[in-house]
Amino acid sequence: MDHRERVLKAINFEEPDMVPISEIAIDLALMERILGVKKDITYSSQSALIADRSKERALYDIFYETYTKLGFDLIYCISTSLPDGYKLKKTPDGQVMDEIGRTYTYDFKTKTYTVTGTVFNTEDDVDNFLKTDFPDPLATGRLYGFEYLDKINGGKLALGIHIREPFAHVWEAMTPIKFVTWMYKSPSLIREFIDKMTDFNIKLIELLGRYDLDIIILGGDLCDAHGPMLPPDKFKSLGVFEAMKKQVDAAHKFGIKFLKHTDGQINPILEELVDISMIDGLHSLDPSAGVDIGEVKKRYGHKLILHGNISVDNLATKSVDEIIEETKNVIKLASPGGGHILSSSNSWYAGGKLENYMAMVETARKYGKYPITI
Amino acid sequence: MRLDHSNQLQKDDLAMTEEINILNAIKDCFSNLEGPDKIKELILKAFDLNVDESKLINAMKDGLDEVGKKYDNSEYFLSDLVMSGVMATELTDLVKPRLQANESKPIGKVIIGTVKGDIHDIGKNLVINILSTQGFEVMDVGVDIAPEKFLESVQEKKPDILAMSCLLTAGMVELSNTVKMINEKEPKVKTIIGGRPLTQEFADEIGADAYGKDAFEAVNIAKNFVGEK
Repeated sequence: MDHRERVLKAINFEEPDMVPISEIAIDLALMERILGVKKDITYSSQSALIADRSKERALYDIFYETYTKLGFDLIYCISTSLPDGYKLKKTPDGQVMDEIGRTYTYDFKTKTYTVTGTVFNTEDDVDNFLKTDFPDPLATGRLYGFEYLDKINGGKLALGIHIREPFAHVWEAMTPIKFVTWMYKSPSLIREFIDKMTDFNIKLIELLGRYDLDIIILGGDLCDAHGPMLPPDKFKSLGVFEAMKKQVDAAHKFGIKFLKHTDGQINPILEELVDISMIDGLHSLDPSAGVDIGEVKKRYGHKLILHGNISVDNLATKSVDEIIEETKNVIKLASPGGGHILSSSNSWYAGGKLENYMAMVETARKYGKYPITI
Repeated sequence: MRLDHSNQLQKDDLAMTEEINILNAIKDCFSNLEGPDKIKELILKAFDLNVDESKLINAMKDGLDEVGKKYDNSEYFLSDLVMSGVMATELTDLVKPRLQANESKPIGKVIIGTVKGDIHDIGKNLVINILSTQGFEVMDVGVDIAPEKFLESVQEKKPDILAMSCLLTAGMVELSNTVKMINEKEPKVKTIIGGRPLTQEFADEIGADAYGKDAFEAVNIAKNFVGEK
């Protein structure tokens, strides 16, 4: 059975020959260690930030080489691309700015950019942006990186793409303090921004539907370790679950599975994600926040693909023997009957232990053969 | 004369009742997260009534305690903590100029930052907000702070407490290095750590004085530490 067949069986709730393995992303610095190379590139999983096409190709080359070297079954395009000819803007203090007003700080350790600020100071700033400067999802070149990855992959691995949750886009673009303040003061502004980001994503999905794409994963957290980031009724009143449903429907028109990623304690909104958003699967299933993959499998294993959940925290801090035991346990709980893609509970961080990541993969290959007998 | 005295007593009673009502309203405003505009309205009314500023701060503290309890009980969520911080900032911005005139002394000095390898700041900023409203002098050294930089700040500013935030596992090694460095070079300074991947077990392992599972717990620990002085 080849890599893609393995994934397709699993995501259709059949038992393949062995549990498929993947990661949404691996930090660039870690991929460099795995491959023994150094590259003058960077990326962000939160937004398209690479304007130089040669660097974007180099990024997907290193992703593809790493994933094939590790024997992964599924590769994700980490982000859609900036339009052709787009010139990245910078704030007066030199921070990189993305298409929706988020500003970024570069982390030298992981070689990635992370959102740390916003250009929006007032509600009028946001309103003007939504009316006049909102990006065009159909701009030429939007799928440049995805098309390149699809081409070099040539159908060998199953293909997924990471697009960003509209709520997460808006939360980050406003920053938490402004988001929360305006959520109470001007909820219609937040809702309008989320709706526009949802339409943006739906148009992207319609573009992506022309390709042989297997999985869309909607990144961006809805929860932290304590529980949902907003009261569940706020998620509802801002239309977050319904917006997700529209994206799920768009993906289903093309036979693409739609998974939701979120860190954190997801149990309080699990029903809404299943019953309102009608997602096909969940990624992360954060064990550090108390999510029990065995319990989720019992409740929803017949209709939710589970993508996870070796603790990223344990991968960074525990011993190889402990990771072997954790991986065996996750396979035992989540893999029987299919519907499981083994991965960490987030992505592979540069700060984690390489020997632990390798132990996770080797253990999955050793004990993940069907029928599961652990 | 007797009639006048009785009138004065009635006026005093009325003023006291109004003061109690406004202080309860401020507490409830926080507890129910009625928003920064409402808190501003109440504070301005309290100024008209000449309510002592320290009582306004205490009413806010009581309200924030309620918010903390509701958060612990999963009645409130992250966005609610952020909102309570926004309201606390509104109140302190209004009250601080008057308090400064009375030269109120901070109850303790805290340096806070996010460890090297991590540039997240939501948790850190929440702790700063609440610490400030609880009477601490807080110095924010920012994000992605190396152990040496934390030590330099501690040696320069002489805080009672060093609070460190770490959201990513990538930062845990540097967090451990920082705690070890502080314990070795500045053992009198208490260290508090907090963040998603951290646990009490990890805090014990690296020798941190305390682990705060959320912003409110971190602040309560800080209060206990300065109470020990």
